[in-house]
Amino acid sequence: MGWLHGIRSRLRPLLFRATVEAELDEEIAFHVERQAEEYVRAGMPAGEAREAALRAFGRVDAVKEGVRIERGTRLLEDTGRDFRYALRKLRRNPGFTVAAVLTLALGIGANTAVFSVVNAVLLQPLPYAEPDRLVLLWNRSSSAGAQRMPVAAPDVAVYRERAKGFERFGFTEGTLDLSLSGREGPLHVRAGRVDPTFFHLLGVRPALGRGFSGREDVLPPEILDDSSATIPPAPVMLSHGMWKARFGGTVDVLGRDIRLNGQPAVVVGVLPADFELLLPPDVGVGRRADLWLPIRVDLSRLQRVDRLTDQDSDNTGAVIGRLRPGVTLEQAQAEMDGIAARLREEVPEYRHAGLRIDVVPMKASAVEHTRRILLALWAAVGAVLVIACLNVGNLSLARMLGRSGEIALRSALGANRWRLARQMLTESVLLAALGAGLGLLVAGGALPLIRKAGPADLPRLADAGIDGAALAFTLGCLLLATLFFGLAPALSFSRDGAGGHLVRRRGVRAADRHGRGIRNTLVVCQVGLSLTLLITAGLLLRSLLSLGEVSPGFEPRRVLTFELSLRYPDRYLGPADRAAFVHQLEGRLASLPGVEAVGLVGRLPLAGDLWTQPYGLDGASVEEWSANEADFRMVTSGYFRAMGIRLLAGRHFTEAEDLYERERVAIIDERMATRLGGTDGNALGKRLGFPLDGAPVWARVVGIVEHVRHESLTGNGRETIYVPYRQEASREFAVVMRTSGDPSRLVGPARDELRAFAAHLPMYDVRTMTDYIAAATSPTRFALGLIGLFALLALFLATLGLYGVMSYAVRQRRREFGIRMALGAPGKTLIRTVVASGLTLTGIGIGLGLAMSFVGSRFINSMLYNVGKVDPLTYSAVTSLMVLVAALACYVPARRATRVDPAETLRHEI
Amino acid sequence: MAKVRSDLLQGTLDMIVLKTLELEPQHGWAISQRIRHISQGVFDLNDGSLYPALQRLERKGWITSSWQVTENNRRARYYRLTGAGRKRLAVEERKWVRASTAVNRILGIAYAGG
Repeated sequence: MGWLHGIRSRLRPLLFRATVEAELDEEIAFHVERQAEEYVRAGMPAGEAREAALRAFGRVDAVKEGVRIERGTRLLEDTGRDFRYALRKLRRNPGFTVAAVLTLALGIGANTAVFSVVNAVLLQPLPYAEPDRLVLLWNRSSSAGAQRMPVAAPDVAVYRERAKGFERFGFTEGTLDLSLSGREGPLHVRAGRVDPTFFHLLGVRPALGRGFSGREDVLPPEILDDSSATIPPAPVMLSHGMWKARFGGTVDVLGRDIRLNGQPAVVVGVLPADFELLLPPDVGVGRRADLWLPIRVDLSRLQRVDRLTDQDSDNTGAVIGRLRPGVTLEQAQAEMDGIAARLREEVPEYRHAGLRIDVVPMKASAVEHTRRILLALWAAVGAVLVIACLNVGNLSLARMLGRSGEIALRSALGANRWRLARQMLTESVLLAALGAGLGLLVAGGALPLIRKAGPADLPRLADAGIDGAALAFTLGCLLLATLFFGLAPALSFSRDGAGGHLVRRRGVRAADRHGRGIRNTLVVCQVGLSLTLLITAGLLLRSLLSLGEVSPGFEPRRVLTFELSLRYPDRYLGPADRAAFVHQLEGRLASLPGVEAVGLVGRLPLAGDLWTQPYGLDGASVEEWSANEADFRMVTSGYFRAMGIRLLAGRHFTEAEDLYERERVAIIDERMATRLGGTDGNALGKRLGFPLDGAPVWARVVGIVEHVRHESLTGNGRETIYVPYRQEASREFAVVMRTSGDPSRLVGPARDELRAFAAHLPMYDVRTMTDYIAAATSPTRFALGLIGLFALLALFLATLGLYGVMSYAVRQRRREFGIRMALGAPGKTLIRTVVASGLTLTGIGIGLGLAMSFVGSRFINSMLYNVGKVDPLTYSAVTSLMVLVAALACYVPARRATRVDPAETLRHEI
Repeated sequence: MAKVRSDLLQGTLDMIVLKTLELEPQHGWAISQRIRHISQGVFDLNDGSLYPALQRLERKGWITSSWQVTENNRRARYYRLTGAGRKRLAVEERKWVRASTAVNRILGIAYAGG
């Protein structure tokens, strides 16, 4: 209450200053009158009484001033006056104001935009209940390198039983591609699979209906053990998007019967709109599933899959654990180390693989792949703001020197130094506030563009917006900016003695010398920072160019791909059925006009799906296989031609191998060939062991093809084994069509063909191979786009700064130039002098920038490809560009100075 | 009796003003009159110096002011003690009594000794 009263009593004099003053006058007048009456009553003549009353009152001005001081509003009133004054000054100087405000708006706006992204992606806690206690658990094989591996479902049951530091565990398998029957034909849907307690673990409540429950949704043993028992329809939870798009977003969706791959299922709930499963991209669990199915078997009943013998099992996935309150990550890791040790004793394969279990915070691992790129962006945009501030600082400094006369006069009239410095700061705050306001608009405009350009693996990018945090950050930028560019002029001013300025010539010179020192420092910093940004952008550009030159190992142009899933309970049951289906489909697609070749592959390169298997060379025992890991692809005979993968030696698979089970054969890539004795054909005929269809097999190598970059464009990738699709016909696969023209024109015909042939199968992920290549380079392009933009902005601002400093310097030396020209010095010499002094500053800045680039390039190292951190070409090109631009920025004002008539200059002495 | 100079301690002036308002609201002139009468002219301060003190007390929330009509039908600003001001006055009085008693005792001893 006390403070409220304080505010009210201070607010009135501020808001109603005139009234308050009038009241004070009235009060004093009343007092004096009343006192005079008193004197009259005591017998004094009326004329004298007033005089006496006034005398008794004391100095009216002093009293009034005393009252004003006691109101406690002095500081605020002064500030208000400063603001009005500053506003007037800024209005009177529109050129400066517009330049400064725009510069700051760009700097602050870009920062706010990038901050919103960083905040949404990196800083915000995961959208789950008590996310700090959530951890991911990974398997790692100490013998097969640092590769993370999914956890087997029955292990989760073991964790639940033994791990005491955890409240609960949740388990989710990779998504399934299913076909949802509907009136408009089958729709492809991605189904996430979770154990029934999964959403409960995350603390995600359904927006509608019920969530899965361990009691209702796990099938009782009597059903599972009785093969003749009818299995009740699967409960389904819809994603919010799916509910809106396909089910009209109505409540009566609950309890509705649907068909997934022909199987009955029933909708039991809808997830909230903002639900997203944030897992690292390499888990293979889709961030956005269209619907969710519970794993209806107790996890302990699922078989622990022997990775050596069975790859196509779904019993592995990602495990999320919730730590008990107070349990640290280290304690949890120590406990899991113990559990891993016991599992190694109990399970032979784990003993061979040297099983380790890693416990990592869920948040860190969900966003770790984005951390570096975002921090690099943040640093870059921060540098732009610093340059912007330096520029505005420079401008204000020049303006302040121009106002030295006014300031000298004011200080001579008794304004104290602190008061004047405060006024300078007020101007800076006003500028920064205008800049920040406009900057918010800039950020608001830029964010949709960033959201659109962002790479697909940047999670939660859609959440980036101008929210409270962003506003607070902008305010922080504003304050920092004010300090940054406002303090320099304020300080430089208060350091100059005040009186000196009145002695005009000497004062100006002294202030000028001092100001020039500051201004030169600012310019050096600007050049340094923008050089750093330019070099960073240059390195990224070079990387992108190198990425464009990388041969992925196939010919991506004119290739259309789509995926199919044959997961039906009553059809395509055996590999032979699937192979026959595929063969027919290929034949029909190949007959379409414009199609040159058709093939099939289990998983497309660069599509983010990995499929690796252990393998052994001739003579190795099966136990030793787990030391090796190769990419594994099942393909039909047409695949290599359709994808444009060159055959280096041996032969392709044959059509007979597509259809019938024969001798086990394999085609290997050149990398594997090197391990088997060389690409020149020595590897042909050698035997290679790997698990296939649940059993270890040995296959004869019949062909060697080019190495394909399956995982990423930049990584070297693993050796690859190709086997005929017939041998282990996966249920999901991609069809690859090489076309003679624009591949997208075949989408319609291919779809029609499929509908005529198998109407119940929806094709999905219809894309060209160039799409996949573009997606693989999108993080680099995203970073390059933004950092490049920031670098250009920085170069522009730094050039502007240099230009300003040189113009100012030239103007100061106009008299000197006039004299020298009058004495016959050629204009060229003078220009050279000016340019040389400007280039000296640039040179120092470049030195600074090179040093900073050297340190800073570590941030973007992970995005660089085929270009050294200290790439001579980039460094020299960027440095030359900087020198060139700087020389131009110096030349223009210098030339202008020499154009002026010397006599005019001499007469026009400042 | 010797006159006390006007450079009274600020706190003392505040206390005196609060005390004069203890019985009823007053306008500025009446307060100054009252101080002069009761102290029998000991506190010889400019009438004007009362006003900054009033402003200060008002800012601290110990008194409030409002414009009212006097018995002679004129507008004047009346000051009134608030609850907080009343408490403050009590505190100040206790402090003053304690301090002045102590001072008196010290001076009394000094006189006795001298």
